[in-house]
Amino acid sequence: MDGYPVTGQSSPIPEESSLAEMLMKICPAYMVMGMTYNQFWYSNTKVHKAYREAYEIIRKNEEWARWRHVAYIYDTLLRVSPVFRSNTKGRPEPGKYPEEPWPLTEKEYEDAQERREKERYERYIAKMEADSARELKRRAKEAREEASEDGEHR
Amino acid sequence: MADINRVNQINFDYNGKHYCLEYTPESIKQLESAGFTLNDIQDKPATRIEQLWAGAFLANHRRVSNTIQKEIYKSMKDREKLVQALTEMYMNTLNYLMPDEEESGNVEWTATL
Repeated sequence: MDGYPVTGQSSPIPEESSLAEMLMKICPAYMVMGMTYNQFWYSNTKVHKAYREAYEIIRKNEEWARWRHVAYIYDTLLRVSPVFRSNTKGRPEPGKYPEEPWPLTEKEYEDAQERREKERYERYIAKMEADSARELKRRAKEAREEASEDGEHR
Repeated sequence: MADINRVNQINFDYNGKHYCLEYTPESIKQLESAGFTLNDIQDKPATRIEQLWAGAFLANHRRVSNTIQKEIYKSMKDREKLVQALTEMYMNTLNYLMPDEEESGNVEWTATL
């Protein structure tokens, strides 16, 4: 049966049973989905539907989490693989370990891109400021040296 | 009238009180223990319809007496459609909780003699 968690039975609907028995058999399946015993028996099917849909979301999320977990391992293997190459000269460096988890949604991806752009821009500005400060310092030093040379000539 | 194939609740006002009739697994279990079965609704319509109607009160209006339930039933319009809606609601509850093992296909078929 699509969407039902595994309860140790091939189907929660046994043949030749009373409705009460059948309902009793499927009750644990709904409890696995998070319903309480009383919620199962005393709720409208709208509630059962919400629990089934929520369970489906949880199941899909878990599947994606498992997939992502293995994808991280795969990515890590690719990053460290240069270290294990025997035919390369020198001492190869492994790839950098990711600084943060992979984005899960498009928004998270865009936010991460924006953050990286901002960081790159800030690094660029800091470098420019450092370069110009160094240049100013160099010029000041030159001016001081010229001034002292002029003084000596006089 | 609501889509009969998706009837989940029947709502109405009677004597200034709002009623919301529905079936839950518990009320279906109680109906069964009272001898109700949809299969013989054609053979014993009076008994079965009365049970079906009373069963719809179990979830939210358990304390409404049999007499009042009968009074309400008698004052309802379109009773034929009401019975149809009750039957659908009962079936929908069961079908939703216990869907078929295999989803139905989409090929139309006819039987000839």
